[in-house]
Amino acid sequence: MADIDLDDWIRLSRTVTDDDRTRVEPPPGLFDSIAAAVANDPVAEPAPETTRLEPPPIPEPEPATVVDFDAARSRRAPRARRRNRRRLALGGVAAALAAVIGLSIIDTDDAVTTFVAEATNAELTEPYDGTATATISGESDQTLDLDFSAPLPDGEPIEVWLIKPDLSDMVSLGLLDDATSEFSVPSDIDVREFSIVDLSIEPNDGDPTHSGRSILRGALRSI
Amino acid sequence: MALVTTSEIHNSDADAPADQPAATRAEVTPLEASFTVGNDADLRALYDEYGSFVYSLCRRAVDDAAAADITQEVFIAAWRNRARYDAGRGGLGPWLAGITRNKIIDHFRSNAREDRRVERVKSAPQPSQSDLEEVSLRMLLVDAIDELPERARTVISLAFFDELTHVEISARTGIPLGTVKSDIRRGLDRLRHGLGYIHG
Repeated sequence: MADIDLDDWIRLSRTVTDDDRTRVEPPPGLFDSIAAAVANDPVAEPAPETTRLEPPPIPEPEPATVVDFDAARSRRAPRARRRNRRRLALGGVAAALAAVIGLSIIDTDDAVTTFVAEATNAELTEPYDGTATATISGESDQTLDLDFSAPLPDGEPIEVWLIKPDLSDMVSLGLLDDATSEFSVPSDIDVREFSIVDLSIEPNDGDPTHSGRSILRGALRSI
Repeated sequence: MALVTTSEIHNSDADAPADQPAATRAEVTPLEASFTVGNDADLRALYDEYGSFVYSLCRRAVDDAAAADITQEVFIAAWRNRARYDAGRGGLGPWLAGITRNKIIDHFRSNAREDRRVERVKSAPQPSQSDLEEVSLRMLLVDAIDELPERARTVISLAFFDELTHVEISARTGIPLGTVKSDIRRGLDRLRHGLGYIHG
């Protein structure tokens, strides 16, 4: 939510309805469920000021990441989110894309548990003057954490995706907001296969498929 | 009845009593100050303070069961990411409202995907981001005004909701005109913190 001018608040006050004044108590027991869910979380540390401004360096340059969403969307196959992913039938185009992206960036050693991608706006049409460093760590319960070099565009929601280089499958990790830049990676997702991190602007049009309006994209590499 | 103008509200400190201190930065509550490194008591305090707000905002878009699920997701996300909250950018209320809006939209997007997967027709229309934002902002405004000290709450409510001028507020309440203006000025300083969160 952007900062709103005081005049807007004054105008807004004149449209307040009785529904806006109504508060409904959550059902009994809901807090207990919340407390139980976070009971074993580690103790929080204050976020350093530089967290969102200085992404850690990437060991080696990444190959260019070119994904043709127009080609994928033309098939209009639904791409489900999280644990409800679906496969896309993309044929030879996907195979060509795989060669461009380069699958060799992912170490096949099962012991490797940390992956990093430097996601950039290069070759994307949606404007965004910044980059993001995506880090996936953990073993049985992997998480993807994003650090941004610049504030994200205000307005429409931004969704985080993991994508196979050949576009045969993709999974949404969820919507980005100020509180959530860390996402759980579903346990059935092998990041060695879903090696592209993509952030896209997703309008609230009821269409759950990727909009094709990516602002950041990068290829994961093991470190 | 003349409408109070926005410029009149902005200039409410023009002839405030000389003995009144200058307006300072909006107040940060103890919970907001300690939240980033909070303990279990802070989670309880956060829920007690904002549970009904978050749940009520969810209920404006979804049914009871979904509202409970989303409310749970909101507080878990807020707690796990509390280190990212910055009281200098605004209050916990607008910060939670932003999380709640995204979780509501995420809920609809998830349902839409599921609906497509099983080829069902969506049962409820998805609210737009702007609709949700309007609703949440109006609810934040109501809560922020309710939390003002009694006299400031009365004066601000008359200015905002009843659209009275400073002179009319003074005449109706018997509060001296200078005090009305200083109450509005201080009230607005507090409202600014409770109403907005500047995203970085």
